[in-house]
Formats: sequence, structure tokens, C-alpha cells
Amino acid sequence: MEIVSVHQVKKYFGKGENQVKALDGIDLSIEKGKFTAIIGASGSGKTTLLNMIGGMDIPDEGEIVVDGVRLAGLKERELAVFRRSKIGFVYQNFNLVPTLTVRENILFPLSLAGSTPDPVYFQELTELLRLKERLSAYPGELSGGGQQRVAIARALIAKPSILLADEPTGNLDSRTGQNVLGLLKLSVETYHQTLVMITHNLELAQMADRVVRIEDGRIRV
Amino acid sequence: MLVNNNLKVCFTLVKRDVRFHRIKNLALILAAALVTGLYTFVFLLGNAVESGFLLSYQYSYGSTSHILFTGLTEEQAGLLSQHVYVKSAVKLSTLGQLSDPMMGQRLVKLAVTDRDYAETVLSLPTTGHLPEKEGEIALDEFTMGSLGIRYEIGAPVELEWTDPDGNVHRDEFTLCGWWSSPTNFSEACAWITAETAEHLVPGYNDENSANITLGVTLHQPRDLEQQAVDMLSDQGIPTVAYTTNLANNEARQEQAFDQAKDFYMPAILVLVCGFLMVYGIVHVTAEQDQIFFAGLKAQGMTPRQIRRYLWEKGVMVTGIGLIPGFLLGFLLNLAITGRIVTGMEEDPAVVFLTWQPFALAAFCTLATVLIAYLLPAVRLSQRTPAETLRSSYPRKRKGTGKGDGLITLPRLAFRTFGQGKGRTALSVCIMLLAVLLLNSVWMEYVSMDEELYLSAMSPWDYSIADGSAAMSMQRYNQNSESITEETVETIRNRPEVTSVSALKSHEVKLTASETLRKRVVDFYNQPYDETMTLRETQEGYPGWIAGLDRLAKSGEYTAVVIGMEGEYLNYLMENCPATSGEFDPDAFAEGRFVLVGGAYYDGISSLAAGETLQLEGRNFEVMASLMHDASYLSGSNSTDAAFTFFYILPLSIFDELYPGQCYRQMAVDIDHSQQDSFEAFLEEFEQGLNRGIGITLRSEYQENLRNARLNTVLVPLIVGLVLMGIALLNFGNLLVAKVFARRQEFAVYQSLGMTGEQLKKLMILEGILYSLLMALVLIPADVLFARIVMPGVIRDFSWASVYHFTLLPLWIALPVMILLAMAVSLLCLHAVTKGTIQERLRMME
Amino acid sequence: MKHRSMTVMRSGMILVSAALFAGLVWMLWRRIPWAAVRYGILALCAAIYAVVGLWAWYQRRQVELFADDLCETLDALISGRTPEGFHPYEDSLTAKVQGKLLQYFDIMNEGKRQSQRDKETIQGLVSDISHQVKTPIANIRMFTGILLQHELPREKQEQFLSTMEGQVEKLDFLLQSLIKMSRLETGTFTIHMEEANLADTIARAMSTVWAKAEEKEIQLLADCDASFTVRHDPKWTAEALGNILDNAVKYTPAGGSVSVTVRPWQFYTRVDITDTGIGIKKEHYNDVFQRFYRAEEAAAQEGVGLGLYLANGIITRQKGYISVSSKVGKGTTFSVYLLS
Repeated sequence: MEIVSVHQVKKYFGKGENQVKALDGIDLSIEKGKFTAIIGASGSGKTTLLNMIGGMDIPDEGEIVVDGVRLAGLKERELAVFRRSKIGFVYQNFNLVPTLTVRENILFPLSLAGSTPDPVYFQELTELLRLKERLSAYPGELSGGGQQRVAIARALIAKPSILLADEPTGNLDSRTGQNVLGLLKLSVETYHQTLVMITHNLELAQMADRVVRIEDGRIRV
Repeated sequence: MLVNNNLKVCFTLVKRDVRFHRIKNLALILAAALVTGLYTFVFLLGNAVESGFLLSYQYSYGSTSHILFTGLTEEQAGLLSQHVYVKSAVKLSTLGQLSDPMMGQRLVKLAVTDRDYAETVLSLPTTGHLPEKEGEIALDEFTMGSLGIRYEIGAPVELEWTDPDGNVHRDEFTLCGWWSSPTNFSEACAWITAETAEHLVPGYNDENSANITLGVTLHQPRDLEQQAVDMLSDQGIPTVAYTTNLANNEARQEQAFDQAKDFYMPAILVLVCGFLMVYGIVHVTAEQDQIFFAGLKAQGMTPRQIRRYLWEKGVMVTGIGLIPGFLLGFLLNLAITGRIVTGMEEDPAVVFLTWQPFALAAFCTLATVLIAYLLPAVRLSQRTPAETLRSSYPRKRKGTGKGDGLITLPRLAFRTFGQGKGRTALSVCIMLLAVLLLNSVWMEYVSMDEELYLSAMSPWDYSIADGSAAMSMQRYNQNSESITEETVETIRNRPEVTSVSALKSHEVKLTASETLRKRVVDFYNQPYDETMTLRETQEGYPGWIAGLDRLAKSGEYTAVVIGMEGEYLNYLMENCPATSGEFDPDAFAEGRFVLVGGAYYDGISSLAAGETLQLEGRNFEVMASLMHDASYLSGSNSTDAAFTFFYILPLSIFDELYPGQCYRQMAVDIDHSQQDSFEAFLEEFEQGLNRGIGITLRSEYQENLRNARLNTVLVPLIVGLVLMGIALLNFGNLLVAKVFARRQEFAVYQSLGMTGEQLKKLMILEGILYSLLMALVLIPADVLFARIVMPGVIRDFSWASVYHFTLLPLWIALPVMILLAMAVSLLCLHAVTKGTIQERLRMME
Repeated sequence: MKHRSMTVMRSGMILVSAALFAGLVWMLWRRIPWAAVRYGILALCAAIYAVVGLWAWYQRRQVELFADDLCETLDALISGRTPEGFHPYEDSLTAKVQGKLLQYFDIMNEGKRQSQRDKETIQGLVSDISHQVKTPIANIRMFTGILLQHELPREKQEQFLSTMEGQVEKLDFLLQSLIKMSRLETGTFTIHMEEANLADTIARAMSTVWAKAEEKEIQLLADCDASFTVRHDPKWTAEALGNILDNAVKYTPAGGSVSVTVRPWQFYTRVDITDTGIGIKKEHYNDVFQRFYRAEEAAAQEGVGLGLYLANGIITRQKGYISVSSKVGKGTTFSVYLLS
């Protein structure tokens, strides 16, 4: 079953002479429950593609359909709801809210949605991610790996159907990287989520069900 | 649609933001406090000015009641006070009027103590108390002065008074209290107890005696005249005399608001200032904020939640800043309002304190802060998170690849202009605004010309007036004998004096001819502008309207006959253009002619040249009719003469008509070099005199000018200084932000071998460059402004202002700016270059 | 109790509002002399009441609509349709609850599909195994027949019997695998996680391949802190590791080596099993864990292609995972990540 469908998506940056084609006609279909790895050199448009699937950016041309809904047809307000209910995003640079504690950061998507957290799941997640002791700390007081774990917990807490990870292991050494990936895989398998991950670590990519290579804004087979 | 309740998280974010960015939020709170303070001050001041005017109307009316009915019987008073319009009523029973010859024409009623009534006419003893025992009496200071009563509780008071039937009594009382009230120039009460009254006139309070004055306060003080008529007709009371409070006259209220408008105006400046200040502070961290918001949006924060977050933040900042702001505003008000609203015994800053200006200030501050907070959010909410993030990444610089590729320090410094053009422009704009404002204020200040002012305010150096005409609100008592022939001689013989001119006046009741009546009615019915007739411009003066109506109906009017000489005549010649005939001093001195003063408006509004006037049986030919500017007269005329014609005769002829009348006022010119000795003499002279005279000193006018000059520019000056502060802060901010944003860049420079010395030089160069940029914009703009805009502004500013070209504020601001630019850059550099290069390079990864 | 208090509250509110209105009317008639004003105020108050009532109705209507929407969604889900008029990304309670419902439905569906798949798997498994079983049984039958019907020389008899024994062993192995697999697939096997010594588990696993390695002269090495403990199921983990080791020994040419190293990480304990065998092509990394998968290169070796499949299943069930990296011709490393 197809959950994400990207059709002839193009995106340009800049204007006139300086215009750069970030994405140049991407066609991609992602199966539900599968783990897709996107690899490619930096600047090849991976992040742009991921942002578009996550409703954080709008393509200049083409269409993206996620879970049966055309993203282009959504208003800004609806996009926000889309992001917090459907998508769990793990950024390369974490993007934690520095003024909120670890607990609040993890529960942030739920707070935004006005939902109450599932205490059992929260417990399980924080235990799994070794965050139990640090729940009332602020992100600034954690190490890079610690912040990464918080970011992962935050992406997972709402049990979104799609997990998007932009080099979740980029800032981490390969050991921790493996760790992180393991956790993501675990969640994906437990909750039948779809995982799309950008990486340039081929060793990690090989764990994916499918590897997509992007070069100069196009998919290379 | 059941809306999702998910706004709680916004408040958490706000709370945390406060905890994490203490300094920034403190600055914001201070800014909000400052804005609140300024708003509060401006509104309090405006309110004080407005209330001051209203109070002065109330003073000239003499009571705080909305309508005063006089000559009522007990029953009528009861009926009226039960009318549904009435909120409260106060009653006064009068026995008669004091008729001591020394009282002159002041109307002092001998009345039974009624505390409530005394309150409404502001006649409660400030020393001692209201009479409680038989034989006690409480008086106002004016009356005590006239009667020569000692300021001592228990002092004996002997009074002559006349009852309504015209019988004269003479009785003794004991003084139990007195007060000095500004409302009692023309009318006052002497309080005695009911027992005393019963003792003096048994049965004074009979049912049928119409001795009651009723002051009513209405539920809705609007259309007082109409309400008074309604009340009387509703209760079936035949026409009873009544007067309505001037302070509730709509035309007067409008007038008061117009006067206060200039003081409300700076609120707009405060809005601009406040917006710029808050926006400036919020903007310091704009880039981090953008990233922060992009992160929040990426997590699925809806635009509604972001708006709510900003809204809550604004409300919180305003809320915390409110109390200190109120305090600041109140203190400013305390310090300054007293200087602007003058002529009150109590501090106007305290007396006119109400909650409305505070509420308005709070509302305005909230609006200002919210605008400053929410405007950036509009832009933010139109972008996707990815776009926001992209735009806040440092942009790659475009081709400066020309030249030899070598980078010199100045070239490096010059490059910084390329970054953050918007912010630089904003900073320059605020600075420009501040400099222009200060410059205009300063030019207005120096434009006030002392000579011009003095010659206009007082055509002569000294004005000596009868005690009853010392203040403009006082009604001149023509029976007063303060300035006698002797006084005039004494002054005339002083060595410093160069000229003395004297003036007398007398009010007479006359009847106008049919032609004059028609002429006057037609004159006042001519249109003044598109909206009203000449008559309607005077709606604020019911006495005047009544006088005109009386003239129109029966031809009766009260004329003011003035005898004058010397300087006064010169003044008339210079300031009162003739509407018919021509003034010929020689012929005038002969005594056959009279000058007629009418309205200060084009067209004949009185007897015209060639017509005849009969005064005290003598016929005078009208030499000329004038547009009469009566501002040279000290004191005011009786209320009957609110609408009047001035008949001006030579002093000698006046003396023949009204022998024994004393002087109303005199004008004295002196040799200015001997001002001090003359003023010393005057002071001594005044103290040696047993009667009250009012002396207006030349030095008082000078003092007045200085005060007035300062007062007119005070509010814009404060706002201008605050704006300048904001501008400097913003400029500093700009530099700080620039340095901090290039933290990593500096580390790179240093790692490539740039010395600390060179970095410092770079900073100084940049500081100078920025100051130069400022100067480049400010100097031409300010010069143009001062040359082109200001002459017009100065012309409209005041009749006493003369245009002088000056750029002083700019010359002060520029060096401050340069110093600030260099100091800030160097200080920041110091903060930024702490730690090893290695650390700094890594920090940015 | 809850209902009772609600009823009390409702009647209380009605009474209070009636009392307030009565008070208002009384005050109006007592205090306000003008009839017009009286009726005016009364009308205004009545209007305010009406607006409040309307507001209450509006709220109630909203709740009704909310319930309707939910019921509609549930009906649609029950009958297997996609709900109509559903705005998934509206910032409303309806959308929120509907979204959750759909998600739940999805996961349930997925579970159903999964058990369907499991069923098919078992069927396939049974048919596969029975297929595999056919050959040894036929062989045994054949040899038994020969032995029973023909008088054979002793050497020949012995040769036949030992061949039969091999076939029986193969049968046994298949049956064992069948049992394990069926338990694995149907989820009936239980894992007892306990804090246990990892070295012991590894030793247990190695003991199953010891003989085979000896036979092929393959060096078996283990590097594990003897006192290191980790939360896992020793029995099943040993089984999984044993399977991987078995594989490694199988595909490592004689004289090679198989080493086991343990690295405790932050979340996972990584157990690397490195051999110097023939290696796996990159494109087959995922395939090796598939059931009955046998690489072409591995055709020479006996086996049914169940070992790694079992191992992966066991480790996954312990919330761990296995990854492979390999160089063809140089050797393969299987990394077992045990959640610690």
C-alpha cells in the first residue's frame, strides 16, 4: 500500500541567473510500513525532498500525496495539523525547543495538538531511550547524543504514521548512529510506521528495505 | 466545529521564554513601562488641562451644581428637588445681603449654614469650622479683607446687611472660620446658624418667603437649559430665575477639549516611539526567533497558536510593565503638570487624577506592544518552515571579486554594509526621526522672541490695577477706591518712570435705537463659517447670549463707558482697526466725540461714525467705530455687561460725567535699565498701601515667557529625548548584532593570522563608517528640514516666534553617535573574542 | 451518582435563572416609574436570556455534531469504507478523535493482515517441510526395504544403516526446526528476559558448533568479558547465536576462523560474529534472513535455509536486530544488537 507518492516534483531556489534546481522532477512512491533510505551527495536535494514530504516546503511544480491527501490543497493551518499528527521528524540538528524541559520537549507535539499523552507509552519510550533520569533537564544540559534521543522520543511520541529522519546519525559517531537507527527500526516495526531516512552512511542504508539514490535533484537507479 | 483546545502550551512557552531570556524580557518590560509611563503622562496631562479649563469655567460660574434656581419658596424647592432628573439637590436659605459700603459690588449673601451647599460652592472653611453656635459666622477671605477683619478665630465681626425688603440691619457676630476660595470673586456666602437667623429675622423661613436658592445636580448633565425648563414646567412652577453651570455647557466642553488637544497629540508620537522601541528590542534576536518559530512550526504549531503565543507575550510584557509605568507616568505628571496648568492652589496633578487616563494608557500600551509583536508574525505565518529557515541562514555574498583580490581593512569594513540593509535603514530612520523632532522642538524653543512677546503681552511695562480687577476673572468694582489721584501722582513722580496713562470705566444701562438693534442682530446672524453663525460661536458664553437676546428683544443693554488717555489711546489706535470713521486724537481730545468699541470682527456691530450717543444727558458724536480688542482691560465687567458696547471718552470728559470715580487701572512705562529699582519700589509701595491693588510686573511677563516657552516644548521634548534614546539604543543594537553575528568570521580571520590590533582597527573603522553613513543621511535631511519645513512651522507655532536657523541637536547627537559606535564595537569585540580560536570555531559547528 | 448530581445541577440552574428573572421583574416594577423603560429593560434582559439559551443550544448542537461525526466514522470503518466528509487536518476535536480512530483501525487491520500472512507462512512452511521430509523418508523406506528383503554382507549393511542414520538425523533436524519455527511464527514461544551472563550464552552457542569446527579445522575465537551481563533470554539467544555460528562454520573453508566479539554500547550490546568465509553479495544482505533462502554459492553445503531466519526472529523479538556486512571472498560479519 502506497503511503507517500511524489509525482514530478520540481523545486528551484534563487532567481534569474542564480537559479538552482534543487529538485528536478522527482517521482517516488513509498510503501506503507517500509523503511526507505535516501542517499546522495550533500546538496543533491535530499533534505528538500524530505521537507516536502513532511509538508514543510511547497514544491514549485508537481504534486505530493501523503496518505491520500494532496499537500498542495492544504492551508497553512491544516499543514501544521498534518505535520503534528502524521509526521514525526528527526532533524540533523535536533531542533529542540531550548526553553522547554526534556519532558516538555518530548510531549510538545501532543501539547500542540491539545492531546493528553499515553502515560504507559511515554514511560516505555523514555525508558527505552534512557531519558528517565533527565526528564526535567533542559536540552542545553544534554550531550549531542542525549539531545538526539530527545528528538527521537519527540518524533515518536504521537505515534505518527510516517517518520522522517534527516541524517539522524549525522552528528553522532557510528556507534551511536547504529543505536539510533535500531531504535527507529524498533518503533517502525512495533507501530507499523513508515520510515524515510536520509543518510550518507551506506552501512546504515543497507538496513533499509529500499535505498533511493538522489543525484542533482533526480533519482538515480 | 468543536475547536481543539490546545492553547495552553503557548503559555508554557511564554513562561519559559521569560525565564530563559531574562535580559531581553526585562528590556521589553522596561520599554513597556516607559511606553505606559509616557502614555499615562500624556493622558494625565491632557486630562488635567481639560479639567483645568472646565474647573475654571466652574469657578467663573461659582458652583459645582448643574443648575442653580434662585428665589424659591420652600414648597417650590421641595418640588424641584423631587423631579426625576435630579440626582441630588442642595438648598440655601438666605436672609439678605451684606451691604457694608466697603463690600463694593461683591455679592455676599448672609445665609443659613448648609454644609452640602457650602460644598457645592466651594465655601467650606479651611481654617476653623462652620458656625455651630448662635452668633457665630464664617466668612471668605475676600470679604474679611474688605471689612478689615482680623484672621483669628473668635474675632468680632460687625456687619451691615440688607434684607429682601430693603431694611438695613447692623449686627455683631463672632468669627468661627474662613476660607479662601477661587470661586468667590463675585459671589460668596457668609454662614450663620439657623438659630442666629431665627433670632435676627423671626420667621425668615416662612413658607411663603422666596428666599431659597436650590442647587441641583442632575443624573445626566446634558442640555442643562432644556432640562431646567422641563423641570419647571413639569412641576408647574412659574418662571423662576435659574442659571446653568458653564462647565457643563457643551460648547465650553468642546472648547476645553480643543485646548487640551495639543496636549493629547504627543500620544501619536508615543505610539511611534513605543512601537519602534519594542520592535527594536524584539528584533535584536530576530534571526534566532525566526529559527525558533520555524522549529515550532515544523513541529506542527498552527498560525493560531503562534499568534496566541505572541499575543500572550505582549500581554505579559505589558502587564508587568503596567504598574511601574503608571508610577512613572504619575511622577512625570506630578513634576510637570503643575507647570503647565497654573493658577491653582492645589497641585493639578493630584486634583485631576482619575482612572480614565490610566485605563486609556494601559489600552494604548497594549495596542502598541501587540502591534510591534504581531507585525513580524504576519510575515512569519506566510512562509513555510523550510523557507523561514533558509532565509535566516547567512546568505552567500555576491561578487565582490573585482580589484586585485587583496582585502584591505577598509574594504573589509565596507563590506558589512551589505548585510542587514533593512535593519540599518530602520536604525537610520529612527535616528532621523529623533533628530528632526528634537531639532524642531529646539527651533521652536529658540524662536520665542522675548521683545515681541513682551510688547504684545503688555504694550506697556507695568500695569497697575484696582484690587477688584487684579485678575481677569474678578469683576471690577467701580465703587472701589484703591487707585486714587494720589497714587497716580506718586507713580508719575518716580524717577524711573517715563510715562503713566490712566483708565477709568463705568457701566451704564442704555436702550438701543431700532436701527442699532436691527444692525446688531443682523451682524451676529451673519455666517462665521459653513457650520455656524457669528452668534453661534459664542454659545459657550450664556451671559453673552442672554445679553444679545435682551438687546434684540427690548433694546436694553449695559454699556461700559471708558475714560482713557495716553498709552491706552495709542494702544487702541494700533490694535483696534476702525470699521467706520477715523480716529483723530486732536479732535477726540476736544470732548465732543466718542469712540465706540464693538465686536472684533469685520463690519459695523455698534453705533457707526456720525451717529449720536447720549450719555448722562450729554450728546456725543461717534467719531469712529472700532473692532475692539478689550484685552487691555484689567478684570472683567459685570455679567450684565457680558454683551456690551464700549464707549470710549477722554479721561477728562469721563470725570465730568462720573465725578469721584476712581481709577480702574494704569499703564506705566519705565526706563528699562532701572527695572530692578522700580520693581523694588513697587513692592514697597504695594505693601504700604492699605487697599488691594494688582500690579503686573514686567519681570513677571519675562518669567511667564520663559515658562510658557519651556512648557510648550516640554512634552515633545520629553518624547523627543526618549525617541533619541531609542534611536541610540537601536543604533547600538545594530552594531552589537553585527559583531555577534560574525563571531565565527572573526575567529576565522584570527586563525588566518589577523592580529587583535587589526581586528580592533577594523571595528573602529566600521564604527566610523556607520557614523558616517548616519551623518550622510542626517545632515542633509536635517538641513533641508530646518530650511524648508521649519519656517512654516515656526510661523504657525506662535504669534511671538521668529525663525532662527540652528542645527544644535544634530551637532550634539553626531559626536555621541560616533563615540557610541566605536565604544560598542570595541566592547562587543572584547566579548566575542574571548576564548581560544579553536573553541570559537568549534562552537559554531 | 454522577447523573444525580447533574440532574440536581440542571434543576438548580433552571430555578436560579427563574428566580433571577423574577427578581429582575420585581425590581423593574418597583423601581422604574416609566413603563416604556420597564418594558425596554425587560425586553433587553429577555433578549440576553435568549442569546444565552441560543449559546447553550449551539454548544449542545456542537456536541451532537461531534458525536454524529464520530458515529459516522465508526460506521464507515465497521463496513470497511473510508469515512466521507472527513477533514483529517482540521484543527478540531472531531478531526483529532477521528484521526486516532483511523490510526487504531489501521493498526488493527495491519495485525489482521499480519496473522493472515502468518497463516500462509505456516501453510507454506508445512508444505516446504513436508517436501523436505519426503526425500529422507523415501530413502529410509528404500534402505529398510533393501535391508529387510536382501541378505547383504555386513559391510554393506553397516553402510546402509549409517546412511539411514544420517537421513534420520536430517529428519530430526527438520522436525526440530519445524517446531521452533511454528512456535516463532505463531508467537507462542515465550521469551524470558533476564539479566544474565552473556559469556555463558555465547559459550552455550559455541558448544553446538565446536565439533563441526574441529572437524573443519576452523579456529573458534571468543572475546567477551566473563562477568558481562545483559538483559536477554539465554536459551533462545544461544539458539540464535548458535544458528549464526553454525552458518559461519558452514561457509568458512577449512583452516579459516570464526570469532565472536562483544562490544557493550549505550543502548545495545553488539555481538559480532565474523568469519573468513565466502561472503555475501551486498544485494543479498536482506535476503539471507528470508526463510529457505540459499545463496547459489551455498548450494554445495547442506542445509534448509532456516538458521538465519530463526536467529533474526529470535533477536527481533527481544527488541534487538541483526545487521550484516560482508566482502565477497573475504568473510562476513553478522552483528547482533541486543537491547541493553
